[in-house]
Amino acid sequence: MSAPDYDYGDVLRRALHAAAESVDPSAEGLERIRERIAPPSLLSFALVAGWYADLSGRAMAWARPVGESLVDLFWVTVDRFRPAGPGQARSRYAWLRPAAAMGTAIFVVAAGAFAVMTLPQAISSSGSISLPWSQHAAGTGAGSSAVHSASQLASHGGSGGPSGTYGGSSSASSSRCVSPGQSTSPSPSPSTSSSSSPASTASTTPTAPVTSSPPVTTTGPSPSTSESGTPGPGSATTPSPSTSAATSVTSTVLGLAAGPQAAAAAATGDAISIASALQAPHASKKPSPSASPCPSGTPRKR
Amino acid sequence: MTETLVADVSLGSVPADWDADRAVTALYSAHYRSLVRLAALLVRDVATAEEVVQDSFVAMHGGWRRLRDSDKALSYLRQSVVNRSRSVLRHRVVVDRNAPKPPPDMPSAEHGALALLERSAVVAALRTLPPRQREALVLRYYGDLSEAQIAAAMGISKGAVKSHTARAMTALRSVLEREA
Repeated sequence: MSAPDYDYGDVLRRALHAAAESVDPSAEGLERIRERIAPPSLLSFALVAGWYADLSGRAMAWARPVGESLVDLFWVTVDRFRPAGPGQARSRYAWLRPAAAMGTAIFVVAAGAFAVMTLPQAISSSGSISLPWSQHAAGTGAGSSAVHSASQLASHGGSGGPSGTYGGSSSASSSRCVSPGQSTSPSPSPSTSSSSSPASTASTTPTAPVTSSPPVTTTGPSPSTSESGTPGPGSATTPSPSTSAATSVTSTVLGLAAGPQAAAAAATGDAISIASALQAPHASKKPSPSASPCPSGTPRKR
Repeated sequence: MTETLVADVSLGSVPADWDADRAVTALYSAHYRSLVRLAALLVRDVATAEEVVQDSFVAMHGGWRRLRDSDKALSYLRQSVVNRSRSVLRHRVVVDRNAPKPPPDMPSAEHGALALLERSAVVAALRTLPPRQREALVLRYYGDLSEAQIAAAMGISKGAVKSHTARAMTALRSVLEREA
């Protein structure tokens, strides 16, 4: 039965046609189709119109309160921006009120944002200013008072306290002003007399500042050296644990009044050197603007 | 009147000035019977087959502005008949699954027509095939349609038509050989 030459297709075709021949559709098929595709009659149109009217009436009954609520809400919002006063006609500048409100709101927001952005920077900058003072207060006392400016000294009432209080760590401005003096000064006195150890010179040999005074005078005190009181490495020699607070204050005041020579003499306690320094002409001690790298206002203070 | 599912050459192209009513009348005269028989082979019910074909004509009348061609209209009718027959069978499966089965001594009204259709063992074997395979065989061997026309009527590709036809013939051969 499964021979390849047996054509099941022909068998199927004959069987399907035989089965289809037995099906006889009814004759009123075309009338049924025409009834279904006929245009709607007037009665059906009336039915549809009535149905539409009923549906639209129900929809309007539901949508009317919703629409009225929306309209009331809109006019309430509009009336809020109208100028006050009953019976007052609307001005042509009525739009200024909401515009002004909007502008004020924008300004407040912008100002708040600006304050929030700049406040942390201001706080950090103020903290960096107060930081050196806190470091001074926490100093170990190993430094010298000569490296500090008169303003710092005056801010502490002049009495100072221990001489090493301001010594260890100086402010950045004072260190900048001292360093050029060190570079321009050929050889400050204490270091020349005791080249090996400048720090021990002041305490060991009182005459060393006397020998060192002429170079200080010849080099010409810069404003920075007058501020600091001891030019160049002399600042490193003066810090000594044996020097008292009065000595440091005296040297600083003399440094301001008569120059670094007197300050060095005061630091060493040599009265003759102090007197000679005070008698020295001030013209030679006036700072030259060209030699001063530091734009400090110390000469004006004097 | 020729009873065929292919386009009648005597009709030619329906003139463009024909309205939908005239086109429905012309196509009804040429293809209504064959379409009802095609639907009857698919749904195994003459009354349902007539309803399916009438619905297809109504749909074609509604879309006559897009068709305006006898070939397109006949292709549209074939595809509509196949789709609606498929929907009827799908709906019937659901109804038969949920409805209580009638007693065996009370045959339904369509039982006579079904018995008439299934007198042949081949048609009985055709009934055991899946719907897609049965559609492919009916359109191929009753409608004498090409693979492209079958693909258009079934809404599938020509390759799928070949696949359905081959599997249907294999299944039909196995059923007939088992019965023999």
